[in-house]
Amino acid sequence: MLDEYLSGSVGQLLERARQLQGAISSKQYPSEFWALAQTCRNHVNSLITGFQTLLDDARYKRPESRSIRLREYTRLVDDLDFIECVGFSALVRMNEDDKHVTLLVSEIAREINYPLIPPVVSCQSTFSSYFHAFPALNLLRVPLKEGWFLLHLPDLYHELAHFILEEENNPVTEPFRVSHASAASAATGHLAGLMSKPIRGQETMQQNLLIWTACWMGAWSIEFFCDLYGTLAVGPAYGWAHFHLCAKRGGDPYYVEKTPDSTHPPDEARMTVILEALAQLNYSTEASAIESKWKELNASGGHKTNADYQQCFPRKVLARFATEAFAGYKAMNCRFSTKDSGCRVHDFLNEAWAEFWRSPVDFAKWEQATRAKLLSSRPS
Amino acid sequence: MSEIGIYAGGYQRVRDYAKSVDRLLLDLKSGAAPDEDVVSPVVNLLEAMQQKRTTPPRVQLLGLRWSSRSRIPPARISGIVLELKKRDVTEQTVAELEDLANVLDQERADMRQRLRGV
Repeated sequence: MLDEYLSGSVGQLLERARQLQGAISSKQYPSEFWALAQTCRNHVNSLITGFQTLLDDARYKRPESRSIRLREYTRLVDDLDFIECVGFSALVRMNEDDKHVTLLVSEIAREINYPLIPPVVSCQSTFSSYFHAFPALNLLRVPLKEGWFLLHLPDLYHELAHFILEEENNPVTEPFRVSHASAASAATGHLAGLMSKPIRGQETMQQNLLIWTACWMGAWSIEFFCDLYGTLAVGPAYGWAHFHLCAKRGGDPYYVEKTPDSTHPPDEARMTVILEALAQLNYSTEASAIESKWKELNASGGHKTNADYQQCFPRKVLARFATEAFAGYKAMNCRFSTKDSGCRVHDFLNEAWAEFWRSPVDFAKWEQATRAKLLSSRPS
Repeated sequence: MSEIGIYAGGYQRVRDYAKSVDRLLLDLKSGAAPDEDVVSPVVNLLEAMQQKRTTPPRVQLLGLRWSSRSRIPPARISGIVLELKKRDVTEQTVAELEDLANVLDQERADMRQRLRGV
């Protein structure tokens, strides 16, 4: 059965792969998109080889290798699905907004001395994914009209850090990854200490501590480091962007998830590391302003700290993250945010937030005029 | 602040681990002696799982999931590594590597599911 099924299904997938190659071969792309187009072509050619091997390699036809063959088949299908839905889709739909935001990210990369090739940006996030980094393609997805509005653009700096943390065998980005590993180890070390002590409700708590250890090892430590990179690069604007996103999304900022698949730490902990980093950058006044409004927002929502939060996110661990990220960022020779940076995008984004609080009612009008300036006066 | 940005690059890595374990299993199950380039990625992965201090958290996590699924004590991983290096692999090791391949494939499929946002 498996042989018959695969010969039919793989034949169809091979044709699909060829059609994808054709879909991007008759279009002219700006140079920022060339690497993505070539990466997509290479991926598809490698998948075609993989599918052929699945059909032709005699070792796959042995009964004891069926499970291996099936796993390989699903991996290849998933890969083709991914490259079609993400990479090719970004290329086929490329429009003026995509080009503008891609150029904006390139300018940010120059301003902060970003150590990697800046990613292509495609303005086509789905509802659930907001900003979304795809390091394997060096591609970033943002919502459809994100390039038209300034207040969330500081989140682009956070996304850039995801690419750094995924980079391997690169001595320039290594210090940031080493700092990340060291901070993550401080967090899991803290939980290991708790696990070794007798606690009431022992079994449930031990299970929670194990799950949280997995979360720290996975998504949480990475998200903190990306928040810290964003803060160190663009300063107070990043703190305000976090405030803005949390205010819009709602939810309890102290809530600690109890699933190893948690994708983000609680918003309170994220804001804490952001404020720590701002203090390190000598933005104490700005940090106080953000903290004061953040506390007000949480009080308005009736949110309070809880035992899970306090166990999982002690201040000393969060402070360690800020210290480690600062050292890693500095060792990569990336440019720190300063009040007098003279960097166009950095200053625009900080000015936008200052303007927002100066006159919230008039902000939308100001933003549209300023956005045009941001896009039109870009240095060549 | 991406919802799931972290998984995008992580997926590729887990996919590569899964692929390398399956490449090795394909040789072992068909009675072929695996080449060094087939064995060494798996040996590197298993050794990384044991070196807690310097190992990326994601690899540690995979090691935890494998040992909890297969009830493999940490010392047993050293035994598997030794067998692979000597090219003297027992049936028990093949079965345990099959478990690891399933853990990696499940992890890969879960990550893909989260990438799809469903």
